[in-house]
Amino acid sequence: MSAETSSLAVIGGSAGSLSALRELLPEIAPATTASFVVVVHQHRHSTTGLLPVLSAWSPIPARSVEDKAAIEPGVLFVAPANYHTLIETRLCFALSTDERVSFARPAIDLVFESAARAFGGRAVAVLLSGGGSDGVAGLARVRKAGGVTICQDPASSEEPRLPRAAIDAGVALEILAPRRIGARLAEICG
Amino acid sequence: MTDELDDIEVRLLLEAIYLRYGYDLRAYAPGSIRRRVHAALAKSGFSKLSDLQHVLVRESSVFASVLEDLTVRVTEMFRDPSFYRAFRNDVVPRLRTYPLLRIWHAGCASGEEVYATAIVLREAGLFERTQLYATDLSPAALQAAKLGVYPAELLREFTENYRESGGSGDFAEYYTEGYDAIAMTEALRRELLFFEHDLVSDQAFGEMQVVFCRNVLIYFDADLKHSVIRKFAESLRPGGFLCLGRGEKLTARDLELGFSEFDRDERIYRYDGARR
Repeated sequence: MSAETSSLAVIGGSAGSLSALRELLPEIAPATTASFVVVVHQHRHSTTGLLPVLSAWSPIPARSVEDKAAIEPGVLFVAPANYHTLIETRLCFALSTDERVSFARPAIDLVFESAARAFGGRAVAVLLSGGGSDGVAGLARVRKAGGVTICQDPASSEEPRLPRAAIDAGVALEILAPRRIGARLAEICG
Repeated sequence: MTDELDDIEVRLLLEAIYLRYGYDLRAYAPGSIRRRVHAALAKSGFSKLSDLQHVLVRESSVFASVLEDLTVRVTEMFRDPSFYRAFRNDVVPRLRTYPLLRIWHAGCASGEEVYATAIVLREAGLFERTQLYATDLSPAALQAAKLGVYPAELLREFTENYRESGGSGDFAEYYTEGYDAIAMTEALRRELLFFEHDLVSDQAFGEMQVVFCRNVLIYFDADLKHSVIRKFAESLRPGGFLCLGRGEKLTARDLELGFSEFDRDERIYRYDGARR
């Protein structure tokens, strides 16, 4: 069995988040011992669409989340379409096909909430460009558990409503442009 | 309330359900079951899990509704069209060699995928020689599956999935449309066999050529998942197929029961027979 990861960074986004990820992901430290999870709203039939794209931008190996798969350090995990991704424990993921939450599956809120529960203050949550409000309640949970919460600067967001909602709700500890988010994650997670 | 106390209360409720009614949800994956317990609590109108538990062990009608909330699964007709395409193209030709087919949908929920399989078999000309068993532990889900009535608002999604799955006909041939619902045709429904069956506590179901268990094992913990896979190995004829959901896979320990990968991406496994 692989070693337990040191910390978990969960990055969620919706419309317009890909261009942010393109700037953010290359900043991840190649030797990081943290695990990263990317949750982006996508069409329910998307099978492998997102993985090769994110993989090309990421300095660490990228892999699709599978049920009961180990949360390995130094890996970027991508939440699959048409499932909810849950952080079951510090060691492993779980998937579910339960009802959409805030019209979304995967729901960013569920990943953030379950990460807060499993990792407490060692969870970092990042909310990127998007519409709607999925992720805002989750950020609140991460903050309450003592984790760092970051949201994309609305001025830099293609679709600023989601980061704006997080800021209005007072749940974003830091508000940064994508490249700075990547650098911050490298500082926090090593 | 702290997460630790919450965990304890959820476990106590599951223990009470097991002791009183015999449904064993204790080895369900904790994250999902916890969410469901809280959703059931919110629906029940009680403010504390201990209050719900008090009533639930005394009134079976309260239990019936909670059981439904704890076990309901959401699916679609032809969920993951690429899986059904692989099943049509690669599994169906191998099924043609059998004079009689026995196929089991384990954990069929409200039945959408059972009808999808029935449609694929019909279009392949194999439906007449197939016994299609569909089981679920939830009486309410099974009732819905038997009825085969679905909200009309899902029709577009079903039809789109059907086409993407390689459907060669017109999906409209398989249902009749009412005001706000569609009903699967009698021709499909009358050939299906529905049974209550709990994968945790009931025995294997024998001599199958195919077992579908898609997106059910994600709700079980790793040990329970393995013991259910063992039941599937006992249920399958050598050369038979096990179809899982896209996010699920057999571990090395599961494969040792006699399975090999048949379609890696679509999570179709072949049972080669028990290994010595």
